[in-house]
Amino acid sequence: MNDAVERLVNLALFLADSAVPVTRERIRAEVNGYPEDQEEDAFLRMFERDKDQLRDAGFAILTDEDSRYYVDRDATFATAVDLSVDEIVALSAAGTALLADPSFPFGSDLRLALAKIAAGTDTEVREVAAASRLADEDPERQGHDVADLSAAATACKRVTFGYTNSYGASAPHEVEPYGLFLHDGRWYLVGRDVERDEVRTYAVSRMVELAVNRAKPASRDFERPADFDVRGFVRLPFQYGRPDDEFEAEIEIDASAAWRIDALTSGHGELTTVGDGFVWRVPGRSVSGLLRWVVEHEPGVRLLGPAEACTAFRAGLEKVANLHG
Amino acid sequence: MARSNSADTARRLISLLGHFADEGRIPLEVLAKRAGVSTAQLTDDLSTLSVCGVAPYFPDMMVDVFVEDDMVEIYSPMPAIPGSVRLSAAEAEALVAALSATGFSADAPLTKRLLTAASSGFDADALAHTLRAETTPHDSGVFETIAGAIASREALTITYQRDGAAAPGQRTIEPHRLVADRGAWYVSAHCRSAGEERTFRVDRVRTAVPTGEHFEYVHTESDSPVFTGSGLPTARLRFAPGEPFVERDWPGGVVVEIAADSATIADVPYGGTGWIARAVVARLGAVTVLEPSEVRDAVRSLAVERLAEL
Repeated sequence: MNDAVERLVNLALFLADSAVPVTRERIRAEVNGYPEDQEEDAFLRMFERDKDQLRDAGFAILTDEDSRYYVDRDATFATAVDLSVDEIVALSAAGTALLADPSFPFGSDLRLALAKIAAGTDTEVREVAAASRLADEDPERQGHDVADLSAAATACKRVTFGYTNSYGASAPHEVEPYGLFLHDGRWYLVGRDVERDEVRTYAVSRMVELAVNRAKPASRDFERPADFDVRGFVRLPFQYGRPDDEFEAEIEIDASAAWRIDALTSGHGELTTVGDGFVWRVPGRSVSGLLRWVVEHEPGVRLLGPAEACTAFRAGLEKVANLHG
Repeated sequence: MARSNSADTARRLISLLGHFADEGRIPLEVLAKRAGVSTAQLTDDLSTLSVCGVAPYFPDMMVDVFVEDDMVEIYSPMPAIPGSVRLSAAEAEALVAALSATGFSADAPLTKRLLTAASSGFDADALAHTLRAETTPHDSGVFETIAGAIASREALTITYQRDGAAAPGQRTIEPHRLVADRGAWYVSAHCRSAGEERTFRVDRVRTAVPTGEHFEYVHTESDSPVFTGSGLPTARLRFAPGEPFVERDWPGGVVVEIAADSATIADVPYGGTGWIARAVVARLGAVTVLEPSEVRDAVRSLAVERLAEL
């Protein structure tokens, strides 16, 4: 393995050191690690693989009009990032927490990124005690599956998996993965279900036997719609349910809760300023979910509508008071 | 899509190249931690690196890095390498996801500044449309202040909006640790105002100001990363038939009995009555507190209070 590592580093240093573009033949002759007795085809495959791996590491390897190779130094080397002490400790906290969290799917790349950034910061800070559990149900498997799904989404490769939905029905799915989001301790995949020809949302924790199509890795299985935005699929808890049950909720958010308006609305619905507060009109699909949300986010939040939800709210609160009387 | 070990090692060494751009000394342990490997593995990696260089491979064209007495010695500048290699697209994406999960949006100054080190292959707009790893939004300045106070063992005066309280209150805390759990960040701390250990949601900390007073605290690795409820009193709850007991909604709770009518009886730990009363009221009668009376009373008071506001 050391020979391969040496060859890759030697190639990186050689390209970075060359003041002018260099031919493939010169690279083969001058970079230690390419066997002299190697067949041309084998060398070409090895060289292509090496370039890809250096590009994966951040090297901008380009070719000129004569098919000679060079490194774009500005595109390859960064100037040091100037960070305040507070920013360094915040970054340290993020790194400490997420690198140890198996449900964070990008730990390997994050570590490499932080190592590169650390080289440009002279300030040594005491480690910040921090921990993370972004996803709580089988965090290791969720982290592993999201890493595979993210790579498949980037490469536009189809995936297959078995899935048990919230009603307990299990079925196999073939999906074109468009995007992923984390919400309330769970990772979700948004993609087009090939058989059903619908864009759906899947909880990663409910998937089994996830497999990425490995055939023709360099070609795309699909094109993601140009207007796709995963943010449109992140819903509030009371927005899950059947489309036929949709209603418009009307909620008063008074001045005392205005400071957390972004956390409350998460960008959903429409806000109207009324006095020092707001009226928030937002679509919902679950009345019980809406009432629960209101209680969990009081004070400063008051349900105004729809009327049937207000009636159910009063009846529910009376029931609670009676049960605990 | 798995990379070979040699590619992983090469990427690891390349990620460290910026450290070797100039002469100097770096503790082996510090560098090993940054690389995420043992000191023995890093020593082996650096041994490999030290036989690398550029043609014609004269001594002054080799990487002049050695490990001596647990220090990484860089005797002369790295050939051809002026500084850190830019973040690859995958590395930049991982960094943005981590920052997002820590409460720093794509528009946050820290995120923007760090991304000046990203390669041109990174597309921030495309990432925003395909990956969202946000936790509950909080003030990133507050997060930085808390992280700084933990690092320097400095007490903070915070303005905190307690769950269910109409107005924020002020208290002084000795912050020990930041914890992200299922979508929100918390700081565990000794609360001087309460005289005991408390956990505060970072998104409810409205202001955080260092007091200038330092404290002693020894962090133990055995500290659990998540809430367990250990040492707290428990409330016995009855979940009506059809109302599921979901542990993630009642952290640390355990089912103790399934009643004859299929109701679920569970014991749930609670730190203060505020949270558990709110959680019970939110179920609007599907969950009943059997005991203790302090939680039953808190539930009733909250329900009556809310009824009065309708």
